[in-house]
Amino acid sequence: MSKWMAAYKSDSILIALVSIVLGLLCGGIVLLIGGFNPIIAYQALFLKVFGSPYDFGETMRQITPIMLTGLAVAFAFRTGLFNIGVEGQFLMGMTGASIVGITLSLPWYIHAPLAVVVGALFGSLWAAIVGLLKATRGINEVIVCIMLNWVALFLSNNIIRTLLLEPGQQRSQNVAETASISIKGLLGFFDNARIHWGMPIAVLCVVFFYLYLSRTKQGYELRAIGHSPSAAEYAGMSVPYNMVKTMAISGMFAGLAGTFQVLGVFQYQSIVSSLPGYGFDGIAVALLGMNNPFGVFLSSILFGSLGFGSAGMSFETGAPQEVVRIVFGSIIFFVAAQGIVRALLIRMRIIPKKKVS
Amino acid sequence: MDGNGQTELVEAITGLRKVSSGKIMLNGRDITNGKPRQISNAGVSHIPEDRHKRGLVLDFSVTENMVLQSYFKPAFTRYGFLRRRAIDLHAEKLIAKFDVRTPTIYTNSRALSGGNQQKAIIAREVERNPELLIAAQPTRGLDVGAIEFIHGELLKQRDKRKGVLLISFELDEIMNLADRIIVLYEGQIVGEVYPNETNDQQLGLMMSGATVKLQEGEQNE
Repeated sequence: MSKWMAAYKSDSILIALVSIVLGLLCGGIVLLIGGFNPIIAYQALFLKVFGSPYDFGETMRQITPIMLTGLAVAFAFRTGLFNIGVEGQFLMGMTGASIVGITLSLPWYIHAPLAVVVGALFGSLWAAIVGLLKATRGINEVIVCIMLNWVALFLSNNIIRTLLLEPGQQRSQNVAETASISIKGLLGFFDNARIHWGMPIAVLCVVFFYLYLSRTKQGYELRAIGHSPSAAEYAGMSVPYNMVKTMAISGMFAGLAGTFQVLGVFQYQSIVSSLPGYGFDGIAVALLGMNNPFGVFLSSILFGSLGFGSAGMSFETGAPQEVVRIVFGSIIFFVAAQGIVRALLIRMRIIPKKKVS
Repeated sequence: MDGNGQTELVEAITGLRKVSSGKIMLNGRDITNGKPRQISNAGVSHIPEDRHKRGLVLDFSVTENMVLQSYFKPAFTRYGFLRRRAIDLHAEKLIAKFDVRTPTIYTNSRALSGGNQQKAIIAREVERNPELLIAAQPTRGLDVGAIEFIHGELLKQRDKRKGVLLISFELDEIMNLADRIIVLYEGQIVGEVYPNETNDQQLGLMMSGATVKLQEGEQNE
């Protein structure tokens, strides 16, 4: 049995459920104190997520990018690197996809895949810079990542402004119809929610992450380096080379996240004045998912649903966004602080004390 | 005595450290400044001084650690994918053969006792049938049973007419096992003696630099 099968055994599922319930309870108390009806609020949250095909589709739209950015952060973590530059790689992915999507004109079966590949490649290369600097010069990846985030922000703004600008607006032109990855056949079913091919691809990325890391020779090397660089060196693995490779793969996930936002959701890229935040959400998602691909899958669903559903909550109850944020935060808190919940359940003798083998 | 160049010598031989002068030959082949993997594939096995830092990936299972030096070989990797069945069988075989006590073959290496961790490393390194086995402090901190087992394995290698380079700070260990004793003092060889022609006092003098100061034994053939 692999480790994560064990990690997701009965105990863990129970703990996760209790955590969510506790978080909801805490959030409810906050709502009560604020003078809002928590039942109505949670009902609104639920309805906003599952209430209509449109909302359900839009929830998936919200989940997709953070699933990918979560994978990006988790992947780097597994090799012992902290990729805080997902933000920048995300922007570069958007830019790469925009450039191909807007400037080229090709038949759809080449255009869309090419735009996706170029977007992924942009993110990948942007992250590889970080890996390269760390591998060859020993520069701390966190600092390089943070600085490159800003470089990516202004670089992509500049590219849009000079090459792709829609006249009179703060955004690029629309990508060509042939580069769009919207799933047209499902638009009717989801009431025009922005469903796109990036969603199944994100799920494939989860599977790829798992297979690559735990079933391949290269994944074995990456994990060995993540756990113990000295032992990996002893075993003849090249630590610098694998650092670059890890960052490139991590950046690929981030780049894909950005790519899908352009090609699947907005069909254009805005000139933005601050970082979009998907990368930072990705850090939380990765930590919540314990850097495990299936954990990231689940935690991104939780994050995305709460994020999208909270809009419904403040609309229905009139609770200000701040209160909704507190509710949001308390749910995340309890899910993240699983140790507390575990200790509580052991004390209440609901789950047995863990035996030491 | 530690700090007289033993660690550096081992790192230089195994490719973990750059060699600035001199040559390292293995059965007539020059392996100076080879990559760690080239040297290991040329037939050098290495039981590292620090089993937690280098010898094992502690958060890997025993099974995964058993192929740390050979996971890339066709027996364990096909089309870039690990052959998990072959790897499991390999681990089971080694665990039985070298009597590694572990609850399951998937147990984290961290959970094993020091002796069993060391046995796992020795199993992995000896099984590769090396021309030269470098054993750095192979018995440090272990219980009597494990020590005896490890001494036995080292002697078996010698009896198979393979080279064994034993580095140890235990004089008794050296005197009992080595065929030739070479003493390093401040990075220099200060003497070479045979265990049956020497005693603790003479070794002690050599180790302290009265022409000698460290102990290290080498058995060749």
